[in-house]
Amino acid sequence: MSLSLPRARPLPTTWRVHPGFVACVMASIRRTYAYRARFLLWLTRTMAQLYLLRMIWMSVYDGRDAVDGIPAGMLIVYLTVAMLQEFLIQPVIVFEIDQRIMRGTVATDIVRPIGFMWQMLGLELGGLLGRAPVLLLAVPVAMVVGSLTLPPTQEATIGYAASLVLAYGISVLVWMLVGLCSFWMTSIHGLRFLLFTVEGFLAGALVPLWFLPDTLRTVLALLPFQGMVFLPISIYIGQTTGGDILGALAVQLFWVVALSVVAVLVWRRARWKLVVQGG
Amino acid sequence: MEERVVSMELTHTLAICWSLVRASVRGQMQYRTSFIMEVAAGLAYQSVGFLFVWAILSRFQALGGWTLEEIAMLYGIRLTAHGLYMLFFSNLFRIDDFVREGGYDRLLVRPLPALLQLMFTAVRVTVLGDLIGGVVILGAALARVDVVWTPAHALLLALAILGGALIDGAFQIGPAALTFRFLESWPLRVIFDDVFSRFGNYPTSILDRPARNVLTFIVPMAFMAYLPASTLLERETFLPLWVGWLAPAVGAVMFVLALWVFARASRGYQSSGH
Repeated sequence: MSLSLPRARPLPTTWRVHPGFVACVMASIRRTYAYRARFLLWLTRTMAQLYLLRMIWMSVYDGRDAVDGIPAGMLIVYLTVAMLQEFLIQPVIVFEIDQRIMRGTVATDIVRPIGFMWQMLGLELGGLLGRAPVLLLAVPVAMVVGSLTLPPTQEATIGYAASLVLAYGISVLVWMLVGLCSFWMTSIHGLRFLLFTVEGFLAGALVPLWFLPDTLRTVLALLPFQGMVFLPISIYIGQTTGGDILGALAVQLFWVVALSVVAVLVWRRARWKLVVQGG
Repeated sequence: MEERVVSMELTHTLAICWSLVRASVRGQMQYRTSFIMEVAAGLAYQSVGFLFVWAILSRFQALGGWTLEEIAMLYGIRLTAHGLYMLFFSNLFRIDDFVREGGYDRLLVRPLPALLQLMFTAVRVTVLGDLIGGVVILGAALARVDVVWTPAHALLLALAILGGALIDGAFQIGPAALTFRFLESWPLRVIFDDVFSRFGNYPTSILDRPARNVLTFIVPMAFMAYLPASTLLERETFLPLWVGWLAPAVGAVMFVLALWVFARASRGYQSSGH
């Protein structure tokens, strides 16, 4: 009787995703559900914010049906969708990376079977998948506090779906770059807090960019943040139509590509720094 | 003879408090860059809040009938009041951890009332950002706003800021008492802080009636800035104009009530046993 070791089976070719990546995603999903109290708190605060925004905007509209061609109802839908979207695509790894560096666990992370950045992306994706069902609970509340309607046309729906994916990409990349700053700065708390604060305004979640003074609007058009809120939601409510939708998607795509290139370069530098200098 | 003893005790207490503050500040100044970043972040936070108001009012001329300068005054009063409260009580936000980890026991064996120690052992200098921001916005507003500055009005402004700080404090110290019973109170404290920071900078009149009544008569947020500011501007609200003068009284009553609740709850304190 011959003793033969079981033949090592190669990864099934149908399984194209690295199991290590899946593991990170699953861990992240599980973690989302550990923070139920935080979700409730988030929901309360966000709905309070939405309510205040609605009161402020209705107050400045002062009974008019529309201002600058934007109907009041449409504006409230904009604000509502912006809030819900912000919950869905909120960043995860901008809190992870600096912790792992501070604790030194990044040293074990980089010797794992998949790359550090792939692990981080897995965590991000897991966060998104974990939050998606939870988002459904927020929707009825949002409908009461704000106002929610479906996109007015099929074009708007499809355009928004594509734009949302790109918006998520931009968000992940921007926050990833902030997280990567941890390799050079002792503490990114200040930077992170600062960015969280201004991001909502810069992205057009508080004041849609149509209402801003021209100079400010031009400046914001040069930044990636508008691709995170203003561009997609403007498509959703049917304000951006036809060829303009493609234009918006092109702008978003540009940022995804540009930020990816920067991220890869920064990560290479960070990894070099980690390996050579020990972080 | 007795008065001398009492006044010496008071001076002694104040001296200890001052030493605690100096030690705390020295400690924080060790991390110079981090400190600067956090103050900058705090200031940026205030600026963005105000940037939002500016952006809206550059397109629309008034919010609820209030112009940019008038909202700035409202904003400035609220923020300065909040900064004033935070200057003394910013450390209160850590009370949950403190009590849970048995740190509170340490306070009890020291010769200073526990609440005073909580106030002064870790003065976060970064909260100066709130106070500075508030004063700057208020200063800019006062220069432009259309108010007749009589001595009475100047007094009202000062009292409004004091009253606002007291109301802010009442709705942090009062809920903090829950920590002695439940080992945590942060959700409630965070909610109150959120409501005041969010809604308190705007005229309460823009809210719909149920919300407006709750935030005036149940949780007196309207007394923090809106009502005194309306009195200063001689602007009609749903209440008589003189109500603005009640702000410091409302603040004092709420604050004393909160202190009483806190003291009462702390007597029922059972150490978690570290």
